Amino acid sequence: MSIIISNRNNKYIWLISILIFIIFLSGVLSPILVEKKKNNWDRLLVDKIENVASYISNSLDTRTEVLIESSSLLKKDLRTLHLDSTADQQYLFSILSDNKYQNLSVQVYNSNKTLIAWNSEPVLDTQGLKKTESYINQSFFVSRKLFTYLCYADTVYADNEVMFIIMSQQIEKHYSLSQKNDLSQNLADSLSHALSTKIEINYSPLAQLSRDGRKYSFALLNNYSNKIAVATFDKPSLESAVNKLQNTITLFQYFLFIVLIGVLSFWFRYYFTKIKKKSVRFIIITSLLVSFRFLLFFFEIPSSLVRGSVNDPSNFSSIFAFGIVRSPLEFLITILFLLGIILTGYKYTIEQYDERIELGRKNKIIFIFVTLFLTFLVLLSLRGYGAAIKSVIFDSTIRYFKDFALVPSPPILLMNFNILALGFCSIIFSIILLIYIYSINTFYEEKKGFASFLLLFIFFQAAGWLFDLLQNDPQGTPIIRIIYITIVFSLLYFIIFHKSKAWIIFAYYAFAASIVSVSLLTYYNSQIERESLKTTAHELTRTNHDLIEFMVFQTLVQIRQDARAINSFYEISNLSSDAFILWTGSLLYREGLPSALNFYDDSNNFVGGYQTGKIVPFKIIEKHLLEMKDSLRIFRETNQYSNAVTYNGIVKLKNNQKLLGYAVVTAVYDEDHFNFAELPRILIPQRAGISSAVDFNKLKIFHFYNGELARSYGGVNLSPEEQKQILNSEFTSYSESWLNMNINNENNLVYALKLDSPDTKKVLAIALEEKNFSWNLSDFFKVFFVHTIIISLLIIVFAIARFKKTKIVFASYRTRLIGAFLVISLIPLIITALYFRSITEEKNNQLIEKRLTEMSEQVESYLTLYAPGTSAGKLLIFEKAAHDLNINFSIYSDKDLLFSSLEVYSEVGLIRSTLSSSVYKNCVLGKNERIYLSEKLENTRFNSVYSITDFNNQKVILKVDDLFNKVMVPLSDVELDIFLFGVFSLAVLLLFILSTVLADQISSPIRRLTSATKSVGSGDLNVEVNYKSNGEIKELVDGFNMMVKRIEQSQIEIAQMERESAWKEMAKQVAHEIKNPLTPMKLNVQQLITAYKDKSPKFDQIFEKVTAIIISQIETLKNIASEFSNFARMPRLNIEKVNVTAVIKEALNLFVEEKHEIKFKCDEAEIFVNADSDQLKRTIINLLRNSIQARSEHILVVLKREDKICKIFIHDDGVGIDSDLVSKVFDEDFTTKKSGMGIGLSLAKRFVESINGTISVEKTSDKGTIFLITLPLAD
Amino acid sequence: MKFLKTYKVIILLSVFLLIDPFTDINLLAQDVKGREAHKVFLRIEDGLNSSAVDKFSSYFGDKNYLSLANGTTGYFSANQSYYVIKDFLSIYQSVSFKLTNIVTETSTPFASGSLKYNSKGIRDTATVFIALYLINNQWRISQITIN
Repeated sequence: MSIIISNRNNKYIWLISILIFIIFLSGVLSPILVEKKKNNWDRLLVDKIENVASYISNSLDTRTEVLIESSSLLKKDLRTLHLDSTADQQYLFSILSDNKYQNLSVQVYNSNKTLIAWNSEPVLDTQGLKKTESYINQSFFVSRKLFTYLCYADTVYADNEVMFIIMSQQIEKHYSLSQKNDLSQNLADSLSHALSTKIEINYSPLAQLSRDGRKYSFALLNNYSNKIAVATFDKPSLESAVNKLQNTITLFQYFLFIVLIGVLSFWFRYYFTKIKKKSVRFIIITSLLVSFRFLLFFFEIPSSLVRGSVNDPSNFSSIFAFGIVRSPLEFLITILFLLGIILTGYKYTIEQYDERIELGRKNKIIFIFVTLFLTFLVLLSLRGYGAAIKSVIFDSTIRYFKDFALVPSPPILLMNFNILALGFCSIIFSIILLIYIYSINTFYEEKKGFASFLLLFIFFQAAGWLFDLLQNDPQGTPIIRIIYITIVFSLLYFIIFHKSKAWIIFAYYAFAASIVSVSLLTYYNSQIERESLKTTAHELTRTNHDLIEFMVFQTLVQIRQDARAINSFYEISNLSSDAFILWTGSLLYREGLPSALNFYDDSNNFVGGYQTGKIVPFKIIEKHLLEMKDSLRIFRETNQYSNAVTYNGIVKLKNNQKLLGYAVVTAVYDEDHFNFAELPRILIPQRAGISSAVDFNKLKIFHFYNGELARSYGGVNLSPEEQKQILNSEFTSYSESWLNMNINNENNLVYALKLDSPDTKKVLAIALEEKNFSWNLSDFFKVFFVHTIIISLLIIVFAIARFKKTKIVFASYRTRLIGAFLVISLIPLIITALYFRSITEEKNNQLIEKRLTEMSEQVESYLTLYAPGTSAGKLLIFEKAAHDLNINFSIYSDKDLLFSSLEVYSEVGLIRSTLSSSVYKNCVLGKNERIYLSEKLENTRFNSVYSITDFNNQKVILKVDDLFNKVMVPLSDVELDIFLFGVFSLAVLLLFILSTVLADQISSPIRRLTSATKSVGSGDLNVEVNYKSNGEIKELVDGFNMMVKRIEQSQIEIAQMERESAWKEMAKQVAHEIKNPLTPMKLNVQQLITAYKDKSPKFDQIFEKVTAIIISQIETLKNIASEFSNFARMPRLNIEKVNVTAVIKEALNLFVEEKHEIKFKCDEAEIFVNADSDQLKRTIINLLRNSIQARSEHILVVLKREDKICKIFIHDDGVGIDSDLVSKVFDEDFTTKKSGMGIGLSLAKRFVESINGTISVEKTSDKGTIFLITLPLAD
Repeated sequence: MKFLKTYKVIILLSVFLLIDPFTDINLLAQDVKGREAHKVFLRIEDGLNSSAVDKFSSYFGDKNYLSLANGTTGYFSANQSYYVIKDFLSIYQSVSFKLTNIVTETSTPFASGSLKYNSKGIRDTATVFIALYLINNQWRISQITIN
């Protein structure tokens, strides 16, 4: 390939040179910049510190401004109100619930410091409120229980009194129930992240500046320049600054390198397209794409640029190909490159298939070998596809069938797309290979059409069965394999027999990919469900005494180092919130262990704590506290009634050697129970990280000790025979065994694990009923629905991107029909689905409300029955009611919390101590007896019923919710969505297919008529439209055919008449013209005869004169003959420079709607000859029409440029021409057709020869004919 | 009587002589396994110290429990474990790591230590707990907790 230096090349060379130069320059500059940074570090450090400090201060100022603005807005509203009226009080609550205060906590107090309106849990208590008097119109920080707020205190004179406004914004949330780090909720964390340095803020005006030389500490000032906190951050280090600079330069170089490769690819793209061999072109493009992908991977692009869940390997990671699919994002990038390769291959294959020319008779063995090899490749690709889907399930924590959401999270959405795209690639790859196999076999076997196709299909199904039989571990199931092969052959049928070239075929591919991939996904999901028995066994054996002791020890160390706990001893009387904060940050919470964290003062009095259930009897702790001599100790207690072992760890908390108190950490280890059994609902998502796919409540667990069943879990006991079956099962070298057992008349899968130790022989068996392994339609729908959404979106994007073509497509009769069918059928479907959803949601809500109301009434009845006289007795009655009725509830007196059955959560601050503002507004002010609310705690939505009840002649508000009480609904919202949207997506697919088929059938005669009309317009009167069904369309088609025949007949008649008339006129004219020279000739001859007879002396002169005149007249006669000949010639040609490629395409377009397959192959878009374009087109049409009339199924037109000529081959597979007739085909009046005149080919020959070309029959046999036209190229 | 005493002593001695070698063999086998576990811990220490997961990835089993400071918790396949820890160490770059407590005289050996890391300029310390289990006579990682 020679590269000619042109302007275009110059442009690329310049660009590439500049890029290389910049890369080189950045390499040279890097050490210089580093050195400069080192030399100027002292000055830079000062600047950096100033920047960080000002960023922190500005961040605080911005937040303060928001508070001040919101406060002034509220003041305006307050001035207009009269708060002695209930309506105005309610209005005030409405104002506070406005969107502009949504992210703020607002409280309004009257002049007596009584809370009169609020929109969330008050930030300040009574004492705190008193302190604010010195902070009026100033911002300040308040730390309360689980949160720290930035507050702004303001006053307003309204309704003849001075009111106080406390406007607050949450700055820190000290605990986290989320598994992943959530920086957005903490100011210090988000600042640390933004400024890349560890920032700590002590939210106290009394906080001291740090004396650590490695840190920079400064006071944070409020809007009155008063110190309200101290911020401390690590001073930037030179090492980290240099690393950052070097990383930036490296990333910049990587980026430039990628751009360089991109530019190079664009440059050489021009030359790739010049390569005639498609296989070579494909290999080059593939190599380029593969290299480019690995280059991106090597440069860690986009991994180094994008962080977050889409790049988290825990969502998916595989070691395939050195890790190019190590995260969902990397998987996406790889799949996009794969799509590029596959689609290029598909394009070339389809082109090659269109251009296929008879291969001739090759070696039969080679054909068989190639067919077998390609078949093996197809089956291998299916196996590879299965293995990839297996990896998607097994190398991922995403549970596609468990974590269903209508709007999936980014990694789930990305993985769903990846799975779909992978299936798409696999389907297309199989189709590519099948096209080759089909092509080879149809030519070799001399069988064409459906029979050959069917034979191939049966062969593939048999080969697939054999392929699976030969494997030790076949991927997927035989049913999936059969479905896959059937789907792929159905699509192939569309390509081969329906010549489906439209883009819609890709939508079919995508849906096919979805069906196969979701089937595989469902299968492997059932496999991982089985595997989860093993995971459970691991989980049960992983947690042991050593681990529990370690976790208790670590938590104690953590508490000892935590300044919060130490400070709280001085400042707060109740340390429950601190205990909860420390617990959520500990390993105990992460492991989901039954555990507790309690604080005691130096006199051994309990001062607050948190525990997951009542697991710590105080007496035991007190005993240990009294015995406490060391600074840290762990005690192990065994339970005489169970196998539970309690670990109590105690650490002394001191400040400057002064004992403040004790922190006691307790964790319970019980082999009999799952650790997380006691956790409440809000902590359920945090259950120990068992990413299992099955419901643990359905598991049966058996512990064997020294050959005997010691314990069982799951409410099932094993018979001695069943025990023997487990113990005597064949254990592998990995000490595990899998069994299928009948337990309690149910077929179970059992996983047994042998755990031998020197003193005991343990066997742990986990069983699950086979029917619990999911393999159902609802699971299928969960992913299929997401795929349908993705496919629909892609179709829309594709249609928009190709708007010009889309416009034409959408204007067509067929598309309008499809649209009409879809709209007519989908609208009622959508309305029904939405109506059903809304009805079910409403019913669910009604059911929950009814159940909660029932609970509420039960509590009310109980309280009425047992109402005591004293207030001290109240709490006992409430507690007894909660215990006896097994209902968790809260009671509010006016706006304050009086009682909560889950005291631990109100103590720590998770349950609000002030009544919800909307409940106060509706129940207390609005006098509603009962209201039903949807509320949110953390990310959990729950429903509550609040009711006003009379207790001891006092109105109290009772709250019962489904957060701490179990309320079951027959069909949850998620289940409903799966059902509705799953069925809906399947219905859309079926409707889409049906609409396409129906619209195609209805519009087919119209399209054929349109095409035939165009043919007639171009002068082709041999066209005929076939339509068999009866009706108006049939009448229209028959009418058209008759019209064309009559036009043709009339044309023949007119031509005949014209010809006769012309001949008559011509004869007259000729007679006249001939007469004119004949008269002088006769006279001269007579003059010559007279001269001869008279023996005139001037005879010689006369002879010369007469012969000259006769010769002249003969010349005139000759001219007349020439003129006559010219007059009889074809119409005058309009010779001009014509693009043959375009002319052939125009001619071919007239046959688009006909049933015959006509392909065109030409490597060049423009080949010019000097010709009459209309005549050339008519010649091509003529030859094509002859081929069709010779019963050809496939016609291939090939246009080639050769030296100074171009060649047009017209291949057909018709009946051919008899060898003895070949020489006559171009003769005038020669025809083999009943209705033909026999002038078509003779006219074609005359035209071609008139422009110095040739036309000939290149080859003919009973398999078809090849006509060849050669035309000289234009200069 | 003296004969009886001598006889008893001989029997006891014989029993002791017979049992002792087996006891020794058992102890020896345990010791060998313990030493192997110790080596595994040292490899993991080296790997975490140099942020090179490759140094100990061969000890991942088909189910590994990981609980990391970035919130990643759960059971992961060997493939996933490799990339999950690699990804973690690419963000929480190890400055130094030392195992301070190694216990191998148990059926599930464990070790703990302190990891000093640098995450985007923020330096901090995390506690690491590693446990092993014996499968097919080879030590495999049962869990890694970095908190």
